[in-house]
Amino acid sequence: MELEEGATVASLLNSLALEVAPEHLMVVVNRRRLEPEHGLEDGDEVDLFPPISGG
Amino acid sequence: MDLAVWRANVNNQTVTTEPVPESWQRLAGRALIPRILLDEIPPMCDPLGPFNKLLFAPGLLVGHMLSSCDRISVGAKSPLTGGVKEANAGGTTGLKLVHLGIKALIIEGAPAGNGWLLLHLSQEGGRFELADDVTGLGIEESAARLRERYGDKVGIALIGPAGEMMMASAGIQNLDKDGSPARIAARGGLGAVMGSKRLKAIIIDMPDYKAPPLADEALYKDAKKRYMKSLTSHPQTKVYSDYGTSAVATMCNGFGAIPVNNFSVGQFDSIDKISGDNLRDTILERGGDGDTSHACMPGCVIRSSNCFADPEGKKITTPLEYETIGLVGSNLGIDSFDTIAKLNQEMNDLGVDTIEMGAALGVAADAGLMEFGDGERAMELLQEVRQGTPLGRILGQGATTVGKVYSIRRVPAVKGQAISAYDPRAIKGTGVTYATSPQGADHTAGLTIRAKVDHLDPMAQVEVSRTAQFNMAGYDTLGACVFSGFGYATAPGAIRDLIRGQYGWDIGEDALQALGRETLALERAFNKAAGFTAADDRLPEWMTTEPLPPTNAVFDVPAEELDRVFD
Repeated sequence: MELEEGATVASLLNSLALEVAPEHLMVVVNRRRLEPEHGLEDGDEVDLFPPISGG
Repeated sequence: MDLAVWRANVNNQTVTTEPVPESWQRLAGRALIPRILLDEIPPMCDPLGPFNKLLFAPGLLVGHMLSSCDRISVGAKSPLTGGVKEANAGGTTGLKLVHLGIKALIIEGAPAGNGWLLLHLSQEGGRFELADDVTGLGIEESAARLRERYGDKVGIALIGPAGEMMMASAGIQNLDKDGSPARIAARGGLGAVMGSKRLKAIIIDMPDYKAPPLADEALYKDAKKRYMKSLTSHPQTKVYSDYGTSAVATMCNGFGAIPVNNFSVGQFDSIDKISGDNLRDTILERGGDGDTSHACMPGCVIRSSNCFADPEGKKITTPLEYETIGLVGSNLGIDSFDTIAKLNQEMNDLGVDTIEMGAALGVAADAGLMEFGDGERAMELLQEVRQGTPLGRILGQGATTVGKVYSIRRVPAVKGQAISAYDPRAIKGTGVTYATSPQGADHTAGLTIRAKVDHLDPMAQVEVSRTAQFNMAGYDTLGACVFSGFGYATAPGAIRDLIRGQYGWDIGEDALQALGRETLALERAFNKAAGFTAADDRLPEWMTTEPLPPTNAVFDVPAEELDRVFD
């Protein structure tokens, strides 16, 4: 998807129509978990994972 | 009604009851297991010999159908790891044992002959009976016959052919609330210990609901209300309800940590075929016996279990869990739910741990015994296990034995127990847990995938593993399903008040951590006495050198970090 320059994980979450509060989601960028203030680069692969703690 | 210790001796076939010793009073579940082992068995004993004991200890809060909190802890010295073993299960065993007034059931002694036994427990006491009509049968047939004989209100804990053959991958199945013998105390070969006592099944004949009295009913009810409110409103409950543990598959894959082809890669090309979404869609499409949201214990509001049906809607297996999807699916290069479900059902009927057997098959594939992706061949190998052929016996002993016999280095195991479906090179905190847990490689002992850390940073993992290990041990002591953890975590004081309300004890603010610490201390003490050293708290060497694509991470948490986990 297309985002503006300087987009962060937090701004990405804000731009989506989420059904779950952002603090419950885990955001993984290029296979690493990142904090909301982390910036995003062109070509980044972003995964949003639901609240589940394993099994 | 005071709880009592019930002691069943397989040698003279008697069952006696005794008061609970002072030092056991405040322990239960996973904490009580090492306490009893330290008090009653020589730590160096042969796990399949006459001095080992098989223990059933319900958790501290079991007995009141508190949602997701009626689990049974089963324990002994493990024939797989040589150390302390606790494996817990849902279903009805825990609840019914407490209703019979049982604090701990201790099965001991050397069997007198070769005959197989049943242990029948009821309000009249305990007695042994012959198990001739179910000897040698699979779990499903055995449970069906036993329910026919004793009625469908009984609880049953039983072993299958693998347990009878004392294979180290054997677990102990328990009936779920609907009578399916599918809630397994899986890890560490407790089924083999039960087999060494020549005990085929325990019948818990308790049709009445007899919850133990509450010390402070008002306090208990209030704490229960707070916990339930927190549990039902937490978003994790809905994810577990809708998807079960299968929702973890894509998350683990996203971290590059799902086991593929005997832990050689951390991402699966066909992940969408084995995702939680696909599982849910498939179950719903097929209807019939299929169920996306099933409770294994009565009263559980999370309902994370499921039932998987074939295209005609006929049940193949219950439950289909992430660990099986990982170890028997992607780890074997298998991407069909139908195949994974059939293999799961075969393993359930044999009464083996799907993690251990999946890992064993993965090593077997590296040894050339099957091709990755060949579900039919995997099923053939399970038939060898069922028949107890030499190859079957090798597989039945688990991944480490397969590796030894076929000289395969890539064996995913710690303390002889197979690693779960989270590759420790990509989730290093869980690797710390695998290495340092007294239970051997065990994700339920302290999974860190949700922790707010960079999973690839070798220096950021000790605290998260330590905290997780204490918390999980705490839940295991309460008899709580670990999925209820977030419910307790967001209802401060609930655990402290539930304990005070039920027993009148003041455990303190951080009840969970306190119980967890005590449990870990007891477990480590037993393992030390059994001969374990720091050298056993390590991941296998190959995982420290072989990079795992696509992250290309190796397990590089330094030994000094591992050794300070329990400081």
